[in-house]
Amino acid sequence: MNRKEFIEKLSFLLQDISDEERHEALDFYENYFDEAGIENEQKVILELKSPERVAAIIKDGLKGQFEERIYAGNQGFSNDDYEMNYEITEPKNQEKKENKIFDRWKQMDSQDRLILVIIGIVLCIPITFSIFGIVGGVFGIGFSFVIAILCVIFGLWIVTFIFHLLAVILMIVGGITLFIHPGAGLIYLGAGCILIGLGTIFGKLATWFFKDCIPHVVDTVSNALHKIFHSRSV
Amino acid sequence: MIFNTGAALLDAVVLSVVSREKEGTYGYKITQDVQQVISVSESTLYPVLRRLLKDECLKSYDREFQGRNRRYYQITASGLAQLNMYKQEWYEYTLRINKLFDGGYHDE
Repeated sequence: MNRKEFIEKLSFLLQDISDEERHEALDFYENYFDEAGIENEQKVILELKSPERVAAIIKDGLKGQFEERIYAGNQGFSNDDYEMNYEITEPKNQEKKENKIFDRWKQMDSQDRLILVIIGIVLCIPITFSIFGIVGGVFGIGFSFVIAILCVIFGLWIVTFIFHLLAVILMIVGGITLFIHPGAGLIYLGAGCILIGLGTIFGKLATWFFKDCIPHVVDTVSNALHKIFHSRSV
Repeated sequence: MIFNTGAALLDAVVLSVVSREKEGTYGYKITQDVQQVISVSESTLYPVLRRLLKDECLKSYDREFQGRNRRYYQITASGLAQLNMYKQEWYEYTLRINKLFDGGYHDE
């Protein structure tokens, strides 16, 4: 506690006496601090003990009760009542309880606040990581889904290409073999035809994927999104 | 060991301290001077000075000192009379007590 806080507290505690008496008392103690000098500020506060005690003595002085309690002895003058816990506590109102956390924050100095903020950040790290994890996971699933679709389409095109290539090779081989071993040649030609057929089927499948399936999925998704986000405004 | 003397003795001590300064003296110095003789709490002096002012044993005036007001306390005529009465009382009282303590058992 410094001088300013001491005087402010004393002023607060003396609210229930007349303005004149309060000013007189505060002037006296302001004067007292001035005379003691800034180097003795803490010493004076230590000797005065507490604003509560000083306020109690001032008020008893006004009532003429103070003098009755003074004792003189070899230790000098003392006033036992004020050596004990003679304190006036601040009235506690309900409002203060409600703002307890906020008040505590206000009462902290900047160093304590910094520590609290750091603790908060450290505590938030696992949460932050798990949020990143979830977002990353969702993104990963989406990404692999797209890749899978692309693979299927390209795979179909590749299979189609290979089947057609093999069919052409088999046809040529079959054509040549037909003159040497007619049976084997026919089998080769037959296999080539089957491969052309299969290749065509895969090709159609890939085309269907490109032309019908994906646009349909995209349409459905965009329609759904459109309904979700714009249904109310329409 | 504590004697209950009421406020009178503290009044007497304060009046005596103030009476030594013809021009008057101020709160902090009074406290320091009183504390040189007896140990008295700093917060005890304010009510005593206030009451002595009300009883017109002291008067106060403000004088500028290093750019601020300093309140001086000065003893009045009735304060001086009061102090003399206290002194007289004290001498008689302590004399009787001392007499009892030092020689009372051997007298008679």
